Amino acid sequence: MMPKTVRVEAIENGTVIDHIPAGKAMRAWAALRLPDDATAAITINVNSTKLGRKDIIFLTDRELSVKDVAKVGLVARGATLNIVRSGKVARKEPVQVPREVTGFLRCINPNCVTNHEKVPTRFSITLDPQLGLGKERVSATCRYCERSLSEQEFAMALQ
Amino acid sequence: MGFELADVISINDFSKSDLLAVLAAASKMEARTPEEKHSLLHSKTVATLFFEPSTRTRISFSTAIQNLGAREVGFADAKTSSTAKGESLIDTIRTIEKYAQAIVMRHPWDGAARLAADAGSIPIINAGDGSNQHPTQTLLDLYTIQKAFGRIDGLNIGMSGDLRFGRTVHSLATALTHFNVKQYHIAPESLCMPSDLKHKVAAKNKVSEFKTIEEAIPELDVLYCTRVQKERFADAMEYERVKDVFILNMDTLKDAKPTLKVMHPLPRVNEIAYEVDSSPHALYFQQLGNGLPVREALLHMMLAE
Repeated sequence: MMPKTVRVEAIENGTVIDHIPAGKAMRAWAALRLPDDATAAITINVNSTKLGRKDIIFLTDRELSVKDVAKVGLVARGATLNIVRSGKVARKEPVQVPREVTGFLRCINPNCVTNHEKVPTRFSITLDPQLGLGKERVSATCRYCERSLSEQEFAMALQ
Repeated sequence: MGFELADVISINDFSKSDLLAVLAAASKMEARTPEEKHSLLHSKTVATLFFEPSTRTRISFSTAIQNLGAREVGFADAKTSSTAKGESLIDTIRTIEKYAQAIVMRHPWDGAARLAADAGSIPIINAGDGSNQHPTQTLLDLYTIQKAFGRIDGLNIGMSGDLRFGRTVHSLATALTHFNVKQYHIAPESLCMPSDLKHKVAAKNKVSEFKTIEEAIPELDVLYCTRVQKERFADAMEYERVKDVFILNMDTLKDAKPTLKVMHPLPRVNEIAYEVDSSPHALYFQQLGNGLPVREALLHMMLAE
């Protein structure tokens, strides 16, 4: 039986993306765009003192940088990046939301030039601070057609 | 401080000093004699690429180019260009920039002008990209207000009709946030200003919302009318209910200030009755004419050595 709680140190060496909001692990995994041979375990809906329930991605023998996981920040806000070495957390940092993403989101505006010409999409990311720290609304604005995508639309726009 | 943009793509790129520089240059341009103007861009070549048909904007740009003494190359119909053979927009721009020092383009795709600016190294002036931006329209709208009142600050500016989909009102509302004005948004429920834009505008200007022109008209200095289009309504009954509310006639104008000016991006269909044309309120034909000095000023600013 799957344990209800999982420790970050469950792997010996590699990267653990912790505190992924429950249910968002698969989206976060897709956002990482790792090579086909990447070995990982994904736990879903485990207990968390901070979030109640959370998802975790355990990636063995591969260290990712804050930049590598920035796109995760778009689809799984509030996640934490842990680098594990010899069974110990060597580094722990919050996953940041990138300021700009290239070739990551597809523009959902069918009339946008990026859906007609062979050109990578570029979106600038803004945080609407209205709702307070950690709960800011994220939106992505297409550099070309200037259409803004809401957080709910990102899933549809993931390339 | 002055005009610092390399391209004219979107009104969102304009700072207040960019806007003021265009207004001042347009005013200066109007004071020049035809002979003076004709020497300004002598020996320059401007390409006008109209991937989508346009009458007023294209003729206005062509006249501006000729008035400044520059040569014009290009096409008025994409069917006569290599686009019809499947050439990409990026390749078209890279080809044209070998012959011209600036490109004026209209394109059916949203964002085409930004892509052209990214691809090429000469100035691009966006003459309309799909339903996204038409910055020279907004610049001529601002110039029209400035010219009619001698100022923009302190005015009560109303926008009526289709505020949900109307590109011209979105850009105007955005540009006005650089000024100290009060905005009146007048639209039926289903065609009101998109909420993200409304919040952006309300962060800078005082904004009041109305459902009918009559309610707002006594306070207005400017009324910018747009058309309520039948195809925008999911519910045909609602269109029938509101269509006549947004038709401006002399009766609607009876409580207006004598100095109220009525603007419209044109072409109009039936949203302004012909009887308004001869009233002192009508400013839309002067507005149309103001496109010329504004476009001349932009071309001059972007091309002069």
